[in-house]
Amino acid sequence: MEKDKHLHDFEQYMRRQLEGLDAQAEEDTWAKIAAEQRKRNTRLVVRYRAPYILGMTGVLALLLFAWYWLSPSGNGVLPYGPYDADTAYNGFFPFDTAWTPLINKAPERNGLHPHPKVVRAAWFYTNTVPMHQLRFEADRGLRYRNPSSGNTVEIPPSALVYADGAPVTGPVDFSFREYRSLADFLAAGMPMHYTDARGSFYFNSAGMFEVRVSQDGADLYMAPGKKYNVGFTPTAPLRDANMFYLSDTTNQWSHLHGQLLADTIGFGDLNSPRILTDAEVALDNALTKPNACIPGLSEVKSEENAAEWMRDGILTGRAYARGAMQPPMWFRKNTDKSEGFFLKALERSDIRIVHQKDTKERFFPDDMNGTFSELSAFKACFFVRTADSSDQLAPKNKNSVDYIFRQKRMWRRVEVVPLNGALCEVIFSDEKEEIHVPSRLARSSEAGGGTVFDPNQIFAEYKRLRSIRHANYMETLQRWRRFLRTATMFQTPEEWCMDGQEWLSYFEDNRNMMLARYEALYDEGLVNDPSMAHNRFETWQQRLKQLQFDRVDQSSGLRSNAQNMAMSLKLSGFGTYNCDQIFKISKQAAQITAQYKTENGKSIVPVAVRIIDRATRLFFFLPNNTSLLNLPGRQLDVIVQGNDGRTYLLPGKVYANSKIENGSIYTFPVEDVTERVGTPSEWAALLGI
Amino acid sequence: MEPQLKKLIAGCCHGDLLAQRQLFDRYQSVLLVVCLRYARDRPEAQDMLQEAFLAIFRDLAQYTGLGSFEGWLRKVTVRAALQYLRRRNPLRFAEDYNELPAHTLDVHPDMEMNGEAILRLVQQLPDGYRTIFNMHCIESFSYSEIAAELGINESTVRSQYARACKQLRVLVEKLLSCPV
Repeated sequence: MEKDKHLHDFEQYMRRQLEGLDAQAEEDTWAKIAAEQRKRNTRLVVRYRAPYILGMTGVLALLLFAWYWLSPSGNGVLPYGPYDADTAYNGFFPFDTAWTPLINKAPERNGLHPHPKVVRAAWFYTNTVPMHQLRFEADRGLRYRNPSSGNTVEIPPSALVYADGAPVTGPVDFSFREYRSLADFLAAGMPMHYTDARGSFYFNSAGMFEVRVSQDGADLYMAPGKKYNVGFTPTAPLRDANMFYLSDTTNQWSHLHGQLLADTIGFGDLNSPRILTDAEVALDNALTKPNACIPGLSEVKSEENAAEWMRDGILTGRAYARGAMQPPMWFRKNTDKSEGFFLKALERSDIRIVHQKDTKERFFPDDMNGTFSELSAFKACFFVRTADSSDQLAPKNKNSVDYIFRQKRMWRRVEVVPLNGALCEVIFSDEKEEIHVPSRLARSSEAGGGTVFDPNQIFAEYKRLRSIRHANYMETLQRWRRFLRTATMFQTPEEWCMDGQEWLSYFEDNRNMMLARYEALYDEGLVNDPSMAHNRFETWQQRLKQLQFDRVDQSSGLRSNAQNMAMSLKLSGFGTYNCDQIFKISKQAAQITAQYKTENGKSIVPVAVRIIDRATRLFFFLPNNTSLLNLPGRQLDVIVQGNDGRTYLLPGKVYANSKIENGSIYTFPVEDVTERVGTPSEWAALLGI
Repeated sequence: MEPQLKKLIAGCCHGDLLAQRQLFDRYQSVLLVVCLRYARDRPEAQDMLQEAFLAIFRDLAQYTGLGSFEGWLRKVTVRAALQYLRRRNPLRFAEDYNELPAHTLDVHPDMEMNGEAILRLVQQLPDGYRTIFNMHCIESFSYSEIAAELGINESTVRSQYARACKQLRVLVEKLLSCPV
């Protein structure tokens, strides 16, 4: 109150109200800060370590100095020769102790003591996702709201029973936790695939929650016929999402059918969850991602030439990935420019006007870069400048052709326009100026007298060379433009956010992944089968249109109103619930037999394999621990749980750069990350998610 | 200072992303509220919060341990918010807002009189009013400190503050008089 003294009652009231506010940052806020902070942390590390390193270097220098001068030999010669490579550095770094992790790695206890008779899956005991806990009187019931998500739980009074069916009285412990991000799912460690009569499918989650009620460590249950309410808002408006329940004992997910849910809004068909494809799920994830990028409709307007564009694009991409072709610098710098720009503006070089010593009127355009190669037609010729009327009127005017013509300067472009016989106009230009120099073509004395001087023939040759150069230029331009325009068809939604220059750099940084991608397209037959290419193009156009429509739907709120609304669930069992799409990987994804080895050659026997595809935000468990998907061009982070109880990571970049062949047994190098992971924030930090 | 916090600060100063994440988790809620008061809306507050945390991690080594750590964080956040506002639209404190444009006053009849509602009213004030109101009324900056921070006259600060309070009072009365 001391600091309120200077304020009036009204201001004090406003202050109290505003100070009592509670707000939570958006989920992606930390990701944005972390992305920026990572670069800055290098500076902090240097700042922190520099004094130690400098200090130690100083001490070592002093010791060496003392040893050098005070040693019995005292001859100023170092007693040892060069260091032996095997003994000079034994891997010990004296400052490593400063990097002792600040966080205690002991696994977090979730505070739950399951009933001795209930045997739960292993993940339940290692789950580190934070849990909200409180105590309430069983006969008074509970109204709870999670402050971070806004989700609610309401347990009616006197609705709980013990395992033997007797009603519960007295204080009971309530626990609630939510899983809303990839990091949460990883830290939880629960299975993420679903099986029913139709087969086994992967989950794409829009959030999960877990409700538990216990007394003195023993599980409690809802009385028969009683239900509790959960107000739950999914994390994303996923189409065809359904509710699933995870059994503690069988560790299997089951679909909650319509009769188990009441007043539920936003679900399509509650009785049989629709099976989506990974592409549909990825698309949903891309659309629900904040600031999702959607490419513009392709420039390939005419359907007839679609196959041609595709062929050029794929062949160029393949050659580029192999290192056999590079985009020219003029294209790299102007990837976003229109074709008109290229036609007008990129014929440029450094051209000086070389005058003859005795008379300035005789000249020749000297192209120092050889861009305007057609000038070779004028070999052994020169130009003689003829009179210009504007110069006669004002020869010293700074704007006159005469004045500009005599300046020592560089021009960007040159063109010779034949007029009549040997007469022509030589045009010099750059970004700011253009001069037309009326001239006459003349033969140099070096040409020798044997040949006939025919200006018309020379000009015709000039035109021919010029048109060949133009055609080559256009061909190069076309090849790279087609490569860029068709690339979006084969990109991940994350890659859609890159502009042309970023894409070229990214392509070069991930050549192996790109080679796999373009080789796969080539092998698919898109280059040689015009009808297949045409169909693929049409599908792509449809998809683009659908993306645009979906974006409009989303911005107008139609879709989000329908599918991202809070659900009011009436549930009769405590445990873990999941709002999910189910999907299957497309048929093209071949399975390979995977083996995992650490850097020091230790083989890992996997007991669980989890996959994260960051580009599409897919996360799932593999049903079979010894096989892995072969998805060329995708960066999959693979997390392997070994039978030694340790956690290993195969980073997405390593996976993408692996040359995997279908049907083969492939050994992947993995890194032991056990000490670095556990809690959701540690997973988020490790994977940058 | 509690040893755990001390450790956390040391980690942040040494560029440990994990420690920075923990500091973020611990204080994001408090600092977002500060940003919400200076911003016109939530997205703007989010941007301010991001910049505030970057500034905090940059300057954390300068925190001497004297005084409340949260107070220091709030100060850095206010500075970051002010910088953000200056960059977005140089504050025009010298301008007189004798009357606010009618269409900017948004009072819903079903709005309850609570912190959220008051925040919405504060967010509707022009940048200059809102900033000075927050700095003086909430952050307890003196008039002279505000004048120095914003590079304007102390008398301008006084008059702007008085007008901000007046406008807020009008808005609050309007809100209270709305039929529920």
